[in-house]
Amino acid sequence: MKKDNDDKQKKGRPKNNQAQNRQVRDAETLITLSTDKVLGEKFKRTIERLSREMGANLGFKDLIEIGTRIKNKETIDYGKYKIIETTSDK
Amino acid sequence: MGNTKLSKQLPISSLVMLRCWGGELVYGSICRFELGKKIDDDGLTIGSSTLWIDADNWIIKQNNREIASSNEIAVDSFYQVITHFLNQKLKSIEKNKNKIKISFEKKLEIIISIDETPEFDLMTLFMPDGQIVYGRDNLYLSGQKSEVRSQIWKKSPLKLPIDNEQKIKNSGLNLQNKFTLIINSMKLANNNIRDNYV
Repeated sequence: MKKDNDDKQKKGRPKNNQAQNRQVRDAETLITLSTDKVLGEKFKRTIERLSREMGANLGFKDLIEIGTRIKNKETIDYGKYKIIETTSDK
Repeated sequence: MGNTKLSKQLPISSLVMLRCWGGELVYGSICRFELGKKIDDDGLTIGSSTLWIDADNWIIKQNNREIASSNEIAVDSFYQVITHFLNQKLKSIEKNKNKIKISFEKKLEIIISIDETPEFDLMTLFMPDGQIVYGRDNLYLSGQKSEVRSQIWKKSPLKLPIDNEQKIKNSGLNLQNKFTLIINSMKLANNNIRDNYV
């Protein structure tokens, strides 16, 4: 079990707190969410829900996809991320 | 709408009563503290005010003793940290030299380091009337507004916990006006008319 978690960590979300912060910021910047504080809040609440409550191991591509959907005011398919799929680190 | 640079200190009136009722470590060391009233945002319970800490480098102190830091914080340890904040009132947000200090009751402080000129928000405070204060190299009032908070504020600005309502009644002040006054005072302070408010 521990090994499984470790592997997911390597493939998706970075281990280091600051690297994770940077991933969120880079995603926000790339999809120009960083200039909208209200959508930015929604974005962070969404990734919190996905990663914390649903156990999704979000990679950079996932963050971009989620952020884009929020920006476009599209529905988030939480089920899509619930089963952890690997995505490459940035 | 543009951004307004605030004075170095953002005091929170005791009448506003932004008490912490929850918080979570969100992602990395990004964390949030829910304050004020519990409101519904599209099925999600959030604070009428939310304090976001987005900085890479922060520490939390109580009685001047470090109890958490951004480098080491994890979900489990944040649960411990948040217990210290529960029911404690936000007192002030202050920019001083290369730090932003956010003070709560019980001598709780969140100290954010400002490294050079940050290109992103180090902290954000969504206020009950929907206005947004954020910190980078200084404190700024954003021209943006949280509509969900703003709408609730307009409908029932006095619907606060009972003890707060009683204080407002006793003071004879209208909370909504009082809160606006704080913001306006901050703008005045920025124009060097007043250095401090409260």
